[in-house]
Amino acid sequence: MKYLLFVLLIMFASLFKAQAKVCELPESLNGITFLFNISTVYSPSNTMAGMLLESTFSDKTYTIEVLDTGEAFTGSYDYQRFLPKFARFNVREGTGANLALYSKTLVCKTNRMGFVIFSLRQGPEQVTAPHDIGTYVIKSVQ
Amino acid sequence: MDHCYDYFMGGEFLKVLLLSGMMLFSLLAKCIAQECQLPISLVGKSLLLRVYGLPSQSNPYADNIIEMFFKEKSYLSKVLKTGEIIGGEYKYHRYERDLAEISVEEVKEGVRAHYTETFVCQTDISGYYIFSTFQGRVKPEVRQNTGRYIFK
Repeated sequence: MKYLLFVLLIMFASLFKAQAKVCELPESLNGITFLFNISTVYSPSNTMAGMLLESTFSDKTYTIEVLDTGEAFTGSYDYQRFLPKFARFNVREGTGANLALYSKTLVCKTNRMGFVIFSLRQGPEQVTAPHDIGTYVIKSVQ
Repeated sequence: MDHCYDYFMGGEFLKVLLLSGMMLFSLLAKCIAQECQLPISLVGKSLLLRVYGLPSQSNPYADNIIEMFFKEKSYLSKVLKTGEIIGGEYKYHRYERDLAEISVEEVKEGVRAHYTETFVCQTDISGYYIFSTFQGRVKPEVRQNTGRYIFK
């Protein structure tokens, strides 16, 4: 009986260890500040390539600043975590002709960082980054 | 008279509401129609994955093209540069029209590997993917890389 308990304990511990390696994305973005680095190469059709963005989320709204240029935008978002390691937020920025709808799909590597795919659904004509890829870092959690 | 007026205005209001609802719906339908979509199933499909980045310990397949063939539950993947072939079982889940994930389990040389590939489409046949693994034969086990995918 003791042996059985011991074996079970070891099995449980190893299971726990195996699971601990898998990262998790936050359940909510409220109070979180992200850094996004767009890692694709610059081209006339992708003027955001290589840039660094900082984004801070509150309950339903967020602000995003392109650190390279100082441009800042605000908008509303909704966040959906499909799996602990895999989530997406949809964003609504601006109004009328300047309305931009896009989503960022996040897959974590560790609890602090991972990769992101940016995809624009609808946007003003001057937006020239319809589809992009990059890395993200969670800079701070309030 | 007042009641009649209210009733009439109420009807007008409903018509306007209906009309604007229809306009909104057609706008939405147009918006969705412009969006790309990922396939509902991968069965019978052939997928090319171009791995971005520079070759490094944490990105051993960088600068490679990997081709994957899918059957009902199993798949074969071939590293085109080396000819290396690995097979296993997969599950495909389309979370949204433009967002899907395959979850893969493969066993090679007695070691079980588990990884996921998350796809976001740009057109109906191509887009970006994120590869992510936490367990496998290739070290380090916690690895991530990205690239372009194309359905052949």
